[in-house]
Amino acid sequence: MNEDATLRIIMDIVLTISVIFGWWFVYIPLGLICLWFFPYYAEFIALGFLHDALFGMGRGLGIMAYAGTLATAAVAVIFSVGKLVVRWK
Amino acid sequence: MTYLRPRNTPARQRTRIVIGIIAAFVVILGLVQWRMPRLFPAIASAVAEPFWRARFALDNGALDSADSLLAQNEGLKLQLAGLEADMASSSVAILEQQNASLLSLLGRATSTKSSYIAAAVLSRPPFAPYDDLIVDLGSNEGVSSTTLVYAPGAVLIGHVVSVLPETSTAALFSSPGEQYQVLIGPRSLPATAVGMGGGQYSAEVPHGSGIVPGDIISDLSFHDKAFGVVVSVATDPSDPFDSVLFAPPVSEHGLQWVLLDITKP
Repeated sequence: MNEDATLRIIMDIVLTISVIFGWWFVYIPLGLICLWFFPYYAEFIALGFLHDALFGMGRGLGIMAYAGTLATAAVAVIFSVGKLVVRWK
Repeated sequence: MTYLRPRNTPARQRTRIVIGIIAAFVVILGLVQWRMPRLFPAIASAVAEPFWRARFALDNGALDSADSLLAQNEGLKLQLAGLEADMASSSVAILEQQNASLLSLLGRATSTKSSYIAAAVLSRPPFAPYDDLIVDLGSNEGVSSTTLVYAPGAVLIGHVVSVLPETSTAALFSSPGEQYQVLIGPRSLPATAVGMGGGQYSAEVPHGSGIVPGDIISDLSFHDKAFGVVVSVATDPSDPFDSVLFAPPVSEHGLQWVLLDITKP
């Protein structure tokens, strides 16, 4: 396993624990950094889904129950396009 | 010489495959969520619960030495004995006793104390979004979506909104947008308490009602505990209503334990 994959797994664990404890001041900046540095960082959307499953779903909030998933998906798309633009040669 | 650039470069193909996988995944998740709405919350809660319990144990001194725990226990016993002695001699205890005897005369005495069960608060604001508490009791212990939540001292603070087998989520009445009927002050003025978030409420009463900071807010039950205490009253001579700001007598955001009333309605 190369160093990038190891770092990615470590970051996944740290981010998952941060979401579980609701440490938004950890998972928001760290998630954005990971989204920028790692290719196809779909874990970011999974973290949004985990956030919704823990705190939002099942209590009649309507579409707001999926705010985490929708927000992370939107940010992931923006970052993907941004990376294509910035790194295009 | 001019070369045509191939349309399907490996990178572009890989991107399409990844987008296709993500799209298929989203569709499958959506279908599962639609058919079984409690599946993902239950799985996520099962994953998170050991972490929440570990933090709760650490916050409550699980790693403290036996000597320090014994000393703490002795200190708390002394403090409790002192408080009990104070309570027995105070007017509050006499009034509570009178209230209980009056309720029993009116045939409204209840034995609700036996229906309270203590639940550990696993996640609370500001870390839990939506101003919710996540507690460690669920449907396995008789918690339902009609269960009321009390702070220690039997202060009503919220109600359960979502129940899983092992955990449940309680919304605080002070959450933004939540409303609850209350009685304000010594004249028991009826009003609607509106949650403002951060453990604060507001309510409107007619101008000149004589409400002052320190007045007690009670709920509509025969409960003898305060729902809140008036913090300030905003008065505008041109407005027919005064705005009363109040807070519960306990800090909701520092709670380690709550009481759940599992009496069947």
